[in-house]
Amino acid sequence: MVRVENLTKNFLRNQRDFDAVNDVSLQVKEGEFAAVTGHSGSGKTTLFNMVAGLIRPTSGKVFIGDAEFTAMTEAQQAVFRNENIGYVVQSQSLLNNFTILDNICMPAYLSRSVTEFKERAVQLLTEIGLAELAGEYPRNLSGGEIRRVSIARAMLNRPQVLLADEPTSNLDSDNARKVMSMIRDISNSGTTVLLSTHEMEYLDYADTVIKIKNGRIE
Amino acid sequence: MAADKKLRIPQMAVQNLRAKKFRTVFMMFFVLLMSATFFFSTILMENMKAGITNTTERMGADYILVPKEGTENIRESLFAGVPCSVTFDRSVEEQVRAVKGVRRVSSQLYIATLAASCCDAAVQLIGFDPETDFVVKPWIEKSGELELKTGEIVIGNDIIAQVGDTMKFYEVNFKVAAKLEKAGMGYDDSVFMTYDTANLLKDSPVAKEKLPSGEIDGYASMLMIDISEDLERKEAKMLGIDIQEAAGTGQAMHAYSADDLMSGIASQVRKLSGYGNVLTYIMVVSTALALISIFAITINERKYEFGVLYTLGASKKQIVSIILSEALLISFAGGILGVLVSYYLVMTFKNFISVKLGIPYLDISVRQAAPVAGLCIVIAAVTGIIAAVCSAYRMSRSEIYCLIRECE
Ligand SMILES: Nc1ncnc2c1ncn2[C@@H]1O[C@H](COP(=O)(O)OP(=O)(O)OP(=O)(O)O)[C@@H](O)[C@H]1O
Ligand SMILES: [Mg+2]
Repeated sequence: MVRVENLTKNFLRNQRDFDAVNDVSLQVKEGEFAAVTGHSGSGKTTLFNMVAGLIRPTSGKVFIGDAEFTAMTEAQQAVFRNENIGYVVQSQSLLNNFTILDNICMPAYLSRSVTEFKERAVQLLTEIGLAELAGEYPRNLSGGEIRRVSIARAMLNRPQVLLADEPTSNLDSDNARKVMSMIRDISNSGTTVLLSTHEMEYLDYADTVIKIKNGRIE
Repeated sequence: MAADKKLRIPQMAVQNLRAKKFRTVFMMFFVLLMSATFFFSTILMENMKAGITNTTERMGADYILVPKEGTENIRESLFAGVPCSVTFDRSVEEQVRAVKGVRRVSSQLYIATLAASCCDAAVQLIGFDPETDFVVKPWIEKSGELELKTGEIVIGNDIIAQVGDTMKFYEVNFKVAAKLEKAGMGYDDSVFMTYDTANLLKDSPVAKEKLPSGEIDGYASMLMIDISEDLERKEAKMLGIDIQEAAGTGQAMHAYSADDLMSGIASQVRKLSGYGNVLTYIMVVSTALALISIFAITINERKYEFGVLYTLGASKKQIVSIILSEALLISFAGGILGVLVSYYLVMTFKNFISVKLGIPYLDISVRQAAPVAGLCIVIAAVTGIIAAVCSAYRMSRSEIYCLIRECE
């Protein structure tokens, strides 16, 4: 479950304040698949970054499960993020110096509590049909493959919440559909999903649609 | 089920370094250069200083009287074994002995040979008077009780010959009666003989051109002077002037304490080591700056990489550990390689260096080199840590989000 209360992020631009996210409140129930849509610049990424704890909101609160995420210290947030939030950022986010398998295992490498993960990593790789690429480096993968690996990596530590920021951008419709059905399956297995997109044709994969415009929910 | 094997932070650092080989080697090279310079200059300076101490201690005379003209030559001979021929009339010995407060006086005669069969270069012959000597004999007798007969010599440790060998100087044969222990000063390249033995040279036709005419034992190159123990410091100081005056009838003479005599070289070394230090500091600081800027630039480039780690739940501590590990790996490897390269160079060109720089004794035994090597590696590591901390600090100040997307 993700609950956002009166979340606002204020940026300075050309010496003037503006709210990239303006007093947003929303709730996504456990296992629900919510899609956030809006034009470019409407504040989707800013919202996701606040939910993931990568930027501090100017005001407002974020709850994940029972925990008040925004009340935690930075170090606590890091551990919490590692265990409970899978975040697929908008751009290419694989680590180029590491193999695909090491990339997928990275959340476990960084964790203190997770000790068994190899089997799951291999299983995730098999599910996305890339088992034979385990030893490859990211530079040898296509855009669609990279996107699927990022999602698999986000799921390694079995997070409560998956945040996927425009996971279909720059993909052809074949690959985009593959990614969307993969995320649908993740949601079906009980993970709460918050996804952003500005491509309307994929909205029917989601349970609910949240529209955002100029930082406000419509 | 057993826990799966994890990639630990040092291993991640190694992978990052391997993936960027050129950058890694480039940075290591900087550290290597710094550590090699530091090792080289420190070892040389230590040896120079040790050489001065050895010389001063070995001389064991309160005053040394030398002609003003020949001071520099005598000094070079004592310190580094550069051969010289210096002479003045030995009657001065009697005049000095008459000075109140003087306890013992003994003449020594310095004669440079022509290039000798034994050695690459000319050798310093030192004649002493066994009747009055109090400097050479105790040193010789360290290698065993010895009564030198006429025609017998005692050789310094660096002279290539063995006891029982015959050595030829100025066409005259001498028999090696003993070989001295290492002194770490000019004596190592010198050949000792009594005045009687030195007198054998006077019949050599080759020596005639080089040596003063007449009886050789009528000449001296320096006087070793011991003063009475019950003199006050101030009186002892003044005595130098009395000695000088007593001697100063013919040539201009100068009485030095052993310290003073060597202070010319000491100040040269101080100057040199001053330059050396400044050079080393400049080297260390510029390496640090170079490392910091290379780090800062690459870390800037790599902000994205670290931003990704943050999104995966890495703590800032873990990120800083990765940066620190990379820096430490580079600086340790660079530091150790630098020491090895420098050590190898000093070993290989040992003789060349000690001749060119006039260092009597280049000791690079493990005992001497290990602390310097340790210091080099520590300095290298500290430089690396500073570079890493600077970049890590700069990075940790920006909000995490800025790491995955450049902030305006
Ligand atoms: N660090 C920042 N400083 C100032 N302005 C920012 C910053 N980050 C984002 N903005 C601005 O906030 C607004 C919202 O940006 P955001 O990235 O959230 O939009 P978005 O909906 O994700 O757009 P897109 O669909 O193009 O990804 C934009 O106008 C953007 O320029
Ligand atoms: Mg966005």
